[in-house]
Amino acid sequence: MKRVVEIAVDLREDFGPVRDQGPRPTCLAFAVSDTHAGLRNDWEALSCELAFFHALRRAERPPGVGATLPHMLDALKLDGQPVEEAWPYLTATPAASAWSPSAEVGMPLRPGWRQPWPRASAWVRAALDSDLPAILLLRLRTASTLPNSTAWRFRPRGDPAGRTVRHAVVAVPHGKVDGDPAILVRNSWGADWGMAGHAWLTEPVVTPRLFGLAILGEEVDVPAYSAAA
Amino acid sequence: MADLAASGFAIVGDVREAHDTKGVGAPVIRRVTAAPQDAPRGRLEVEQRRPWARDGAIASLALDFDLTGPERTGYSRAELRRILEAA
Repeated sequence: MKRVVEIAVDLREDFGPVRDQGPRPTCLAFAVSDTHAGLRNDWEALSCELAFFHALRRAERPPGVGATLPHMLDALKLDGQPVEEAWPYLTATPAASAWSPSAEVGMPLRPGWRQPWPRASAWVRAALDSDLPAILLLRLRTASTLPNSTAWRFRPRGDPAGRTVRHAVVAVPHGKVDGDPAILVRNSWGADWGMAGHAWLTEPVVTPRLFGLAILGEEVDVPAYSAAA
Repeated sequence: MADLAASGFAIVGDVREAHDTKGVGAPVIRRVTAAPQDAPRGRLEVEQRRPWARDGAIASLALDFDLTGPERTGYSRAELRRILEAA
């Protein structure tokens, strides 16, 4: 079924190609890391491996589990993240004993400010209207989509505002799909998913599933904290 | 799941269970219950794939199953089959 899409704000040009988290529980790290990278003047992928490492270290969690939003934001604020080449993403979950960055990980970059926002889809539109991508935390039960489909296809059975799977994506444009207010999300499941890694979510789909929202600020290369500060 | 049904299994249950209540993107356990409708014995091969991905399976599992009922005393059915095949 062909859908009519009207785009009001589109921040996709600020981002590089969609990345692929593979089978690891790193969706939040990709969402936060790519949002930070998208705020900088020229796209250059940042080390989501290091951001994920520091978020789990701060939460005292092992490498095979998901991160939490407060610890991920702390990791960006206090540890920063270098460019991707400094510590490239690992395709498989490493053993905890073998998981640590090299001593020469490079200059960490930090966004200017970061904060959770009220978890309402109207705030997502407000952020995008201000040219700020929004990090969305969604609760899903089963979510899938066919390649090249326009809208994220939720299975009707077992996903009535699901309560099981927590997933993070980045809202980049907003607009309307078939007349309904909608948000286009950048996923981290590779370019084969959806439309080159993106899919539209209408507000009736987003609103009951949205349980967290965060915005990063524009001052994206704040110097490292001084030891004397 | 469609392949499982097409192979003669009735899908009795399909649920996902999350055990990590804090992390975002945490792994979940998917518990599929399927009953063979025709042959009570056979070989089951399952693969974990991302439906949209063009690359190969993330993980796979193959096992022989025999649901013909309780074992009698003595040799198991599998042992008897091996003995008879060797004879």
